Amino acid sequence: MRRIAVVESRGYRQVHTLELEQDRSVSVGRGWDNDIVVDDEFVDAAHLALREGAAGELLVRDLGTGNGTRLGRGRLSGERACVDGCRLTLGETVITLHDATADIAPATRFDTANSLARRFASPLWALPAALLAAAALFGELWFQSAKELRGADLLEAAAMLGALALLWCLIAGIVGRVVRHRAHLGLHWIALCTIAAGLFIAIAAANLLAFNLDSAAINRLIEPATQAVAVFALCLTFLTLSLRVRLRWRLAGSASLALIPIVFSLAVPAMRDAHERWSPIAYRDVTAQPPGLLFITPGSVDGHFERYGGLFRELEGAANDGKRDAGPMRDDPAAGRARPVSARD
Amino acid sequence: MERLALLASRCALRVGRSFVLSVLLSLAAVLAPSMSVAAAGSSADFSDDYDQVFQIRVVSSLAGGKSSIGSGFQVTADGRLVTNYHVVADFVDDPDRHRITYVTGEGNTGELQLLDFDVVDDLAVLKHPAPAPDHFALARRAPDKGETVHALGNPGDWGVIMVPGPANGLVEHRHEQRLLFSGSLNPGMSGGPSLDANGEVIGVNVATAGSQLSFLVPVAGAQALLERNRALAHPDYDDEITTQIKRWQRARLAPLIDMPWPREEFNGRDVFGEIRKDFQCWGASNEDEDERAVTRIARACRTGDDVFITGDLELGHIRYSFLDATPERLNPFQFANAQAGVHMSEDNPSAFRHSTEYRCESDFVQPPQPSVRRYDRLVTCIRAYKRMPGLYDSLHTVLSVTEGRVRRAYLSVSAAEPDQIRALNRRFAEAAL
Repeated sequence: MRRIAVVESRGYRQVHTLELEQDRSVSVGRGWDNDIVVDDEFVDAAHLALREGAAGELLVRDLGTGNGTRLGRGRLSGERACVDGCRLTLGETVITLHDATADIAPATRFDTANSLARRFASPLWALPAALLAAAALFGELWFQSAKELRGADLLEAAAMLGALALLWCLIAGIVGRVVRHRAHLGLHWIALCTIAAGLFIAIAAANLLAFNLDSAAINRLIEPATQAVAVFALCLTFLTLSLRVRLRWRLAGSASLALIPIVFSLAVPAMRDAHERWSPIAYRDVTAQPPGLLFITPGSVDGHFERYGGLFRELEGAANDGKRDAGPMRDDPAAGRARPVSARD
Repeated sequence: MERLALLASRCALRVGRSFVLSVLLSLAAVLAPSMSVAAAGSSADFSDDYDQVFQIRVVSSLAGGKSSIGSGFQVTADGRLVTNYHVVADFVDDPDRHRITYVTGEGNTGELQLLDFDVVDDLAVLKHPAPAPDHFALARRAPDKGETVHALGNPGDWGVIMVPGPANGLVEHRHEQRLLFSGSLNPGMSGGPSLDANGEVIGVNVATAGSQLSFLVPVAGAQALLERNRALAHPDYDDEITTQIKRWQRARLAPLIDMPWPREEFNGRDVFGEIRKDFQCWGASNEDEDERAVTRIARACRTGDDVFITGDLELGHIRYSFLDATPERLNPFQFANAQAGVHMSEDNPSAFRHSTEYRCESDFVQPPQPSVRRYDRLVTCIRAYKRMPGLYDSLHTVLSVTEGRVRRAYLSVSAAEPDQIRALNRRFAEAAL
């Protein structure tokens, strides 16, 4: 005899525990006479049978239903073995089967969002998170802006961030309500405040690093890299708190969305080459810092002049690669009209 | 200065761009001094000369229409015509898609052949297939100051007109030579002759700055071009332009590199002012703004001469500027962020079609006197011209930052050779640090 836990989920989740015996199958269906009654109009009165096989494995069988059953991604036909944690879809209902002979915990364990909610969803955390974000915003404006800091600017920035956070919470709330039947708004707020504060600090640190390294390649990288980190953090938060998706899918989804700013930063120079140049910028610093924050030892003036002397050689090659009008138009004799003549003609 | 050929829709563009540039540099607008126009009372008879001025047209083979028009005149019995280089620049830029034609006063028309040109003097020699018996004679002298000359040309399609006015000697603040002429030259008169009282050509109409301020190329340039007696083939045009620009740059940059650069006081230190006659400087500051967060004092200097190559390519500028900034209401971080960053953009944005992208090198360098709360930075950006091998543009910034002050010096050199750029940048950096 073995005990299984059946987690039935159509919106709300319900956990049933059953005991299986080899000579007796357990039935799942809409009818009241089933062992597990599923309230789903697309499920047959008698839909699914579960039993223990000769080797102790768990076997599932569709009872010839109109809408059928899916085991994982494939259609369930005949009697099939079902491993621990397998997923069956009947009608609009998903049921997951867990072996609960030793421990029922895997079936009833909290997911990340639930754990986080129990731990952090309280004003005790929401308030400090908001204060942290406000402090980081003030620091960002104080240390990183290029103009005088006025109360109105601070207010405007705070209002803007607050509005964005509210919009986020609204969307996350709706999605969370529909998918999880719980919005976790407090958690969204705390996560957003923490991510914003972390980003402000990360941007300041990256700028300081870029200033000291003084490399054009790093300057080009910093903006898309920061954007990618921000997108990743925001997506992971959203997917974790509003949807019910496995960790690897959450990570993969967030990572693929985080690629967008990186791909865009790579694509723009390529598009620029293909068309006309968009920007007349020859050189641009990300930010500059006061002299006290330069930690590297400066080089010599001679060193600079030697280094940029190499640019002439590099450019000579680049200029020859792209010589204008080197195509056949110029060499086509039929196209020439104004043939030069000797001055004595 | 506006050149006088009617380059389809381009004149307005060039004027517009230079206007925007001057606003961007926030330099005081320099008003051209108004010239009093001398009444042109001349008894000489020029009536025959009108018929000897041609309208020169560059016709686009694809569009079939005129891409530029100007004037020209025959100077030898074998049918050689003189006009401005910029009148036929579209043809030189793309000979396969253009041809050069003439139209006489009677409406006769035909095709002309380009024999030679000089981009620096802005002159071109064309060949007429059926020379007229009469032609203009070139004077062997320059006009005296105040001598009345008569400029002939065909402004637009209305017919040949004559504009009398005094010649005022050579223009200052330019390295290449132009005669200042107090008469209203108009678009289309480019390449027309300016005659002295004997009816001899003493200059070729070339450009105007408006309000009776016009410019002529001294006739000596045309004389030299005719004596050279060459017939260029069009695959050689790019090489010829390159050679001419290099020769011109050597003649004006080598003495500049060797000569002492006199210093002038600027905000409590010595920087460069008008180091030679062909440079002009302007100064500006925002000290009269009460609400300023940063006090900025600037001096900007530049040469007056760029050489016109095509509608979107002018070469040869040298610009340098100095900017001192001190914070009024910014903390050190905000001040550094606002003033100590390096943001260099192209100094000749339209030239990008003819050049590679800029490549830059940036370095923090030891200041001459080591100091704890100060850093110095050199940033140099270079790009190469594709059709003119060996010519490069350079942007060079020297930055000196302390907590209470940012000093910035900037040098931009167009279409020079590597050794010239290195020498100028080096000299500039050493003086500015």
